[in-house]
Amino acid sequence: MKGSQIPIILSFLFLIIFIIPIFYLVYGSAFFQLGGPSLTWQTFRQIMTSSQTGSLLVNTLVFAIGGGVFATVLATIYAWIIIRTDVPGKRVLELLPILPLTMPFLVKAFAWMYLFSPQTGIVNILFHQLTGIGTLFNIFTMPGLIFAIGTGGIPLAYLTIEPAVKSMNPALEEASRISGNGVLKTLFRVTIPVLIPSILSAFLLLMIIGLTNFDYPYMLGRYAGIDTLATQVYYSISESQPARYGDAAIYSVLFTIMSLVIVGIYIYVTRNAFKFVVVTGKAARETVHKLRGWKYVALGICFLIMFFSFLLPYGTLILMSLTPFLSAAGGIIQFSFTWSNYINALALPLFYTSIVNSVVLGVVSALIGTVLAAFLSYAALKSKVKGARVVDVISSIPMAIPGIVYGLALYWTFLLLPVVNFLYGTIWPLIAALVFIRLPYSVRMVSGSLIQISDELEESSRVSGASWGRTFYKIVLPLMRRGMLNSFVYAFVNSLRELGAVVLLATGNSIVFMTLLLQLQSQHALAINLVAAASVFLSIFIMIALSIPSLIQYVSSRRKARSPKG
Amino acid sequence: MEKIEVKDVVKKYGRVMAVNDVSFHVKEGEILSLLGPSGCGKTTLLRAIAGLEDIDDGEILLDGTIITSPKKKIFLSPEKRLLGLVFQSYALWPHMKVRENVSYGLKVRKFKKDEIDKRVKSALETVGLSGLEGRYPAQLSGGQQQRVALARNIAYEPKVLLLDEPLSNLDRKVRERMRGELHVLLKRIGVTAVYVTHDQEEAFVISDRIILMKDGKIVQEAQPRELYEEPKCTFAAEFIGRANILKAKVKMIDEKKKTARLQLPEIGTELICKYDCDVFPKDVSQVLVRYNEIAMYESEPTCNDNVVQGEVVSRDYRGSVTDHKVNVGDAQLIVTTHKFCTMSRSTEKKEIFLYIPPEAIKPVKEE
Amino acid sequence: MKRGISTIVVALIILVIVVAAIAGYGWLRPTTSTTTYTPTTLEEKAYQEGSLTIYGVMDTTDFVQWVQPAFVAQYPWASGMIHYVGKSPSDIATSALSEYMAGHVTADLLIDTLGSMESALLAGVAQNYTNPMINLMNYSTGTYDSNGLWTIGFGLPIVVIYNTVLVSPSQVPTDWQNLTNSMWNGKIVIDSPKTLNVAGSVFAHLYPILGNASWTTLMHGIAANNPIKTTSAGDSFTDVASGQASIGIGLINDYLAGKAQTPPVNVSIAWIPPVTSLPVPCALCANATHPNFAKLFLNWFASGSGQYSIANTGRVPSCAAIAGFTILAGVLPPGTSIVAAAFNNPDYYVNPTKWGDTFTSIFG
Repeated sequence: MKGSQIPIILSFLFLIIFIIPIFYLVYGSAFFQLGGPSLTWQTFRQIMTSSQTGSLLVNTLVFAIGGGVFATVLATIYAWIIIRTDVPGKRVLELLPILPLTMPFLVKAFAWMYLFSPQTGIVNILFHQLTGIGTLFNIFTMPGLIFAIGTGGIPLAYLTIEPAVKSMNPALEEASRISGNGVLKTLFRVTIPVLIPSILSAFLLLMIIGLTNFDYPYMLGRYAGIDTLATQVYYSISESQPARYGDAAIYSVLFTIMSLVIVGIYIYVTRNAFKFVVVTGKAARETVHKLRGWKYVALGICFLIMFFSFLLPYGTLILMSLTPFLSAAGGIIQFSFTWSNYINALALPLFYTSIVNSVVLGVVSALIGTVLAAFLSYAALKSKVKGARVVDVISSIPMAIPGIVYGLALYWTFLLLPVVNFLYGTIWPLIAALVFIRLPYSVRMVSGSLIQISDELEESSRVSGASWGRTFYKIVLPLMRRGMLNSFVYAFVNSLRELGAVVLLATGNSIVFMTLLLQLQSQHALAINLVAAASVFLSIFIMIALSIPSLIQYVSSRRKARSPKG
Repeated sequence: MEKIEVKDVVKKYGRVMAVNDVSFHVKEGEILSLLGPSGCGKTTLLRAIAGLEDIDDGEILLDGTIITSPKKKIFLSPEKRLLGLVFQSYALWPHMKVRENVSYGLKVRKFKKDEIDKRVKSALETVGLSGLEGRYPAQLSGGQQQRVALARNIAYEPKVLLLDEPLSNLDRKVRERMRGELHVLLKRIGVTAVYVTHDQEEAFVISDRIILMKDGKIVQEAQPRELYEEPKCTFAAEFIGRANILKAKVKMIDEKKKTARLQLPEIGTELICKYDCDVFPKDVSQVLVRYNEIAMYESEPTCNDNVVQGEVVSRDYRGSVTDHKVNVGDAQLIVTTHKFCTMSRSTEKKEIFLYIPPEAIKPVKEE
Repeated sequence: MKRGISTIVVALIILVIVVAAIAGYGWLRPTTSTTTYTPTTLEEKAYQEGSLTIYGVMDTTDFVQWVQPAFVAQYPWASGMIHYVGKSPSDIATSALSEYMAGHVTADLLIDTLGSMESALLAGVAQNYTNPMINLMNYSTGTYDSNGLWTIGFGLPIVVIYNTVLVSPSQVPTDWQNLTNSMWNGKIVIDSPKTLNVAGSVFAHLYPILGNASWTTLMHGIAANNPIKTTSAGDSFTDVASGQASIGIGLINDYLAGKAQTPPVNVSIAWIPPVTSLPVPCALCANATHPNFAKLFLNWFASGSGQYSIANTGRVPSCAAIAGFTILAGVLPPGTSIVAAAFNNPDYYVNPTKWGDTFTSIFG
């Protein structure tokens, strides 16, 4: 076996390990049901022809598409403004888009409810007091749901579109200005058409996330009477008496097929993105458009976007954590401030344990995921075996599987498959779930680094006498460091925020932070403020974690700057 | 025993024949160039020798041992071939200092630390970069990077040094300076070298022997002088130096004087050229005349033979030389004159006379 | 090539070390400890088993904060041996059932609402166990199963709650029929009846009392008021407390928690007879790997110490006397008794699917 074949072999192992739980999902759902198999042809037909399924599909699609459009449009505007115009305060504006990632979806849902619940949301109540008209904005509607996931999707859309805007040749826009077009005309006639591939890929990515999102429809959709496929899977299991695994399996399959189609389109659209070598240095920060007086308008737009995306929900979270349970009945709000939520949060016996568990779980799964991603992306990009690119496709498939479905599949696998049986009830199914769900994103991040490592760097190492293994270790891995670090940090942060996959795989020895929050919130009616306080701690923690790559980069560039120039 | 032997090598990419039945050898201590336009297969061959590409048919031998042979299912992996390869892009590892770049091959081969230090120092000295061990590649100029790439390869004394257009990324002036230095350096070290380039002048300066290639085949294999003076075909003639190609037919041969009379239909006259029956085939149909081997006069020169009249249509003043486009009969010839030729400065005279010396007319095959 | 292999080998060794460390930290399932002597008492047997896994509906925080320490206070050697997994009511039943059918039973005992657990119990996930505390402490029927399939746990009294700001004293319902009044349209909240949880159990309890015709009319009447359907009684309470709804069906525990807040939450109880309590019993798992430890816990849970610890979590213990002294002191109007929900309706527990379907067809 040649050393260079290791990535390919690992990739196919991965594929096998990935397929097995899906098989068990179907098998377990079909056969382990009270009163005999529940996955019958009859149930299948029943679900496929019921009108409820139709409205589920419609809801899911509208939610996903709406959220995708919302986030993509806002992210594009934001990215273009801060990269291509002379808006003031760029340094700060560049850092902001990542901040919304510090809040888990579930927690943001609480904040939105607190603000925009039709009867008791404080914004609506204040509005009513001021104007006497009904509600300003009802979050328990489809537009409300779209707003929630749209604002939540801005970070990811921004992270996808920003590199494309940066490496777009400024000469294109300059040429347009010189021929007489104004700023906005240039934006619509030149910039956006050029950026369409990456705008499209951002949209598709967000649509996939919207499709598989569980948190918002679960928390907000319920009051709106809106169910999506994700929540329906959950309801079939956890809120049906007895649990209908057969239904859950059928919904999961429908779900997955729909997502796979979108993922397929996404892979097709981004198939050349791997060849996207980012131009370094020179063209990156060119300001093309001078806005004069309009720059404050642009600043205002950016501020507004960030306001709804981060400042408002986060501010609300802090407000919630500093007040006791607010009864806003009858249109009157009484505010009273207290630190007791923070004190109680810290006093929770499982507070530290669950954080430690979450951290260890996050670190281990991020570590395994990053190493696996390194091998997979190497196999996809560099392997000379024919059809190696299919690895890229395979590693993207987990994107289409919603966390909750995969959690269920793993549950069955670890219960039934003899080889891994003994790990049932331990932390390992959770680790497996988190690794696989994050893998597509990790692979993409690592690939971004890997693509910049030209083949010749490896070839010259081989010619100098180093074997494939040594080359990988001494040349490829060090150069991939940046991508791997980013991948690790994001995998870690996202595992802290994950709910869907975790909720079905709870174990006795390791309660994680998100489960703790969910339990508190569902068991204790008035725990919402406590949950808010606990979430503030979590978000601070995540902020620290997210800033580590930048810190490392800052330190290493200072170190390099100290050595003399040639 | 030759240092490198390439026998009947074939390489296909899909339906395209990148290398089509090529055979040659490289002697010990020799600098051989693979010269040709892009896509002629020279880089593919080089990489095949290095072991970075496989071949579809044929054999490659190093020091008499087969290192690649698809028929015999032999393929020695690149790290075991003890060769050196200087890339066009230098391929310096950006995360390593110069010192680590140069010592990499030595560390792999498990040299002792003192030996490594000694060799690194000596290699950098040889390429003229002593004192820059602690720098990162990003902090060096293009020329310096190229030298580090070279040093990295010579540090471990490879059997053969392969170079893939190493000077292409440099500015023209630097390139011209470097090629002379490179030749001296390679000769001083005494290493066998295979050099790939598309620049004819570069190949001439650097190598002992040149293999001219086109479309995966060898067109001509010769020393620089022979390649220049006696190109075998049109392609070679036009690729090496600059030449006018004219149709010609042999009308009469004078064996005693060793001359022949040629009829050139395009310019409508007959010219006398040197005739050596060994090299001059009777059925020749084309001849070449180099741009800079034609004399230009304002008025008709005294010798009668080989004078033609023409009209200058345009001039390109290039400083040290001037190119004149001259219509003679139906053909257009390009004549290059030096600064000291009076015609260079002349801007008005359109009607001129050209004298083509018999030695300047050479037969050349179609192709 | 050797280098490449050695890198992989080193990585694998590190992975093995990491796994071993985690195992040492106790996250892989701990193996039972072995001792040299043969144990005689239940406590000794439990100690030898060395571990106990509980799937319970009580949230983990409450269990770890109140119940577990009380148990460990009595049995200090048990420290660190109990693994409590908080799950949703239906999750507990389905996990237990799946494990049982797969032959891979992990839980030793279950603490779940009877409605959720019943079908699994009937399928055989539990084994018979007669808790000695039943006789010793004179527990009333309704707190345990006469066949021994389930035993003492705690109860969740169900009450009708209302928002004191939105509902004037004259509007407070005194009868179940009041809930069909159109003034509650869109303002009444219940946890989805088809999950056979709080609302479902109360409604099922009313069935034998009202008879089929009146009961169906009542159900449709309530459904006509477009009730908000939540996933748990806790969510129902939140909705009433926040004013999202004016009136709803909730649990007394939440009410008590709300009262304890500063400032106290504006929710009060409409005492509509009968006052029922959702039984949350315990069951000993069939094929449990640590049956003696489980029995030890069950006995303790039914004892005074156990029942007090339940009261500390804000839940109502099955032992009526202890409940009366602790959590329900001064809360229940005099003369009010609490009965086990739907005990008058055995069909509810035996045929959950039928009731689920019935509720689905009425409420959706």
